Amino acid sequence: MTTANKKLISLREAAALVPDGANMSFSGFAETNNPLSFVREMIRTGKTHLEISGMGDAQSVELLCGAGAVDLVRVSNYMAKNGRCPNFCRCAQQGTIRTEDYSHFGITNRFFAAAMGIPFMPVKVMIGSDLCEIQNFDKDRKVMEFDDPFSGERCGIVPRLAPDFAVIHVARADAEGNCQLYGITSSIEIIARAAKHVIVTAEEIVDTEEIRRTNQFTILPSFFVDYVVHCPFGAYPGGVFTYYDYDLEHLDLITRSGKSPDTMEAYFDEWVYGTKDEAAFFDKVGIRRLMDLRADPYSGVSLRNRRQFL
Amino acid sequence: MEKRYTLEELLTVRLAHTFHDGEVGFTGLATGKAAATYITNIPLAAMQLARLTHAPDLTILLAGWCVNPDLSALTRLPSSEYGNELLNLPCEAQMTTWPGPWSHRIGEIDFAFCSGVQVDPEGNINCTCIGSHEKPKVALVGPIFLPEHLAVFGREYIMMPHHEKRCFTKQIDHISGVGFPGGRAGRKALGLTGNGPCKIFTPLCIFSFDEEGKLFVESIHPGVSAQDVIDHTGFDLGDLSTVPETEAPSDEELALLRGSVDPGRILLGADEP
Repeated sequence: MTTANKKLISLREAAALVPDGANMSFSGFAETNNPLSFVREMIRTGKTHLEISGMGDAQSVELLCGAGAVDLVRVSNYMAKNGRCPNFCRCAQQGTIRTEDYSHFGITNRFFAAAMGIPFMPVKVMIGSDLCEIQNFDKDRKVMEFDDPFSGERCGIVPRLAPDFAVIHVARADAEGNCQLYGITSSIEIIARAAKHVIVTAEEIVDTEEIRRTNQFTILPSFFVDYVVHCPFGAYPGGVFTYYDYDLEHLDLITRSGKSPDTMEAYFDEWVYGTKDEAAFFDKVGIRRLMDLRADPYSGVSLRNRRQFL
Repeated sequence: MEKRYTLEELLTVRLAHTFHDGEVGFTGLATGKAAATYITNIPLAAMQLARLTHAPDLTILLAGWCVNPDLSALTRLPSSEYGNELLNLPCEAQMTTWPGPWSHRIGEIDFAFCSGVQVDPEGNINCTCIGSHEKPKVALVGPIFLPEHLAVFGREYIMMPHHEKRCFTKQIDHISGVGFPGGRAGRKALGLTGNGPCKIFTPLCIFSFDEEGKLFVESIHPGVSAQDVIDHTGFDLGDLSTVPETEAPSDEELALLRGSVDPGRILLGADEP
């Protein structure tokens, strides 16, 4: 583990920690809590041959697939707002990525075994289906039918899976790596415990005194966390509960662009390669757009974004 | 022919009749209009109707983590599984680690709803790919939670927004969710603790599964002929001449549905019957 005073680093430094070919897992489910500033920085710095182990981190994986950064994907659920994720699906159909299918519990139990430091977990899913029958790059390391030695009951077992890096977006963190998030956390706690290295991006960096005062919101104590990066609006164009809504227009732009490699390349040229860093990216998004997305403290959603209030 | 009710209302009321008091019902949050109507909206309306009639202690698990939400507080459909408007919807509990491995004990969920692009006569479902897995013609959204639905939930309602030959096929391209391969005995040998699929709701009919685990047509919706069902199904259904008509909702049920369950017509749409 890294010592506390070295944990708070820049986004560029954090992205540089990830080598090509790393096995990555990202926080986020649907349009919430995805570490997309980190992902854009990975794309800017040209990461390649990545291996993804995910449950529902669709937004991150969709962008990385579009950028040609991914070779292997363990997939449970990659769904964009309008259905399929076009970049991920195109790469799977053209064979430029290889996929290994898991169910939600199937992949999270692989993380769970790693998080507990045990070699495998019994499961009651995937057996009897093509998730068991078709084993691709995880052949013989995916799921196996198994009779419980105690009761004789038929079940499956899945081996532990420890990603090289978990990249997690949270609401608040201190410089020591104590992390806070309100509401749904989904797979965050489990991938943080399973991964070999944990990089956290946070909307706000606060004093440890503030963490102590509001400790009931701390989902990850500092000893699980290796690096902390300050990334305001770091889940944009996704959202973060009580901070900001997802930006439907920009998400749609990504989905539309993803329909062909040319239009996706044009998207990256304009929004990612064309902006030298996240500050430049958000200059391009514009202050007005960001302010409109801010969550109303009483309703939790952005009333402007939803055109309920002008 | 003038109808008192819409297809969505017909399916909602028939579904509601199959729930029991005290059960826990799960529905995911689907996006896309047809899928959302069948997987999310009709099940939610049916569960709430059951709560207002014969099953006051039925528990609604919306999106797997939102327990007994106040549906009448909805002003629009939630547009994202963890969207801010859903996180602020009044409810009794939020299961914050959903869908992690410890959010629900196996056996706790009595029934749930799922869908896919293909179903076979054994009730196996595909939501992963069209064509071969190695080089798919169409890569879909991934197995999601479908394997769990079919493996560990008490019983599963398969909700199919399209009743077409290509959706009801003898051989599906990927078994993402397991029905009754080799019949009920075959399923049992796999050690699956849930009871598997129990019914399939489509715009044309309701399917059920017999003692062997084989699918059959239980009822055909009013205005639909047996030939329509046969023509739109990609495998043999046998003789349908004695299959009854799907029972229509009563005026009282329709009044409850429109007046109390879904007064804003958020769930079942504003279309007139």
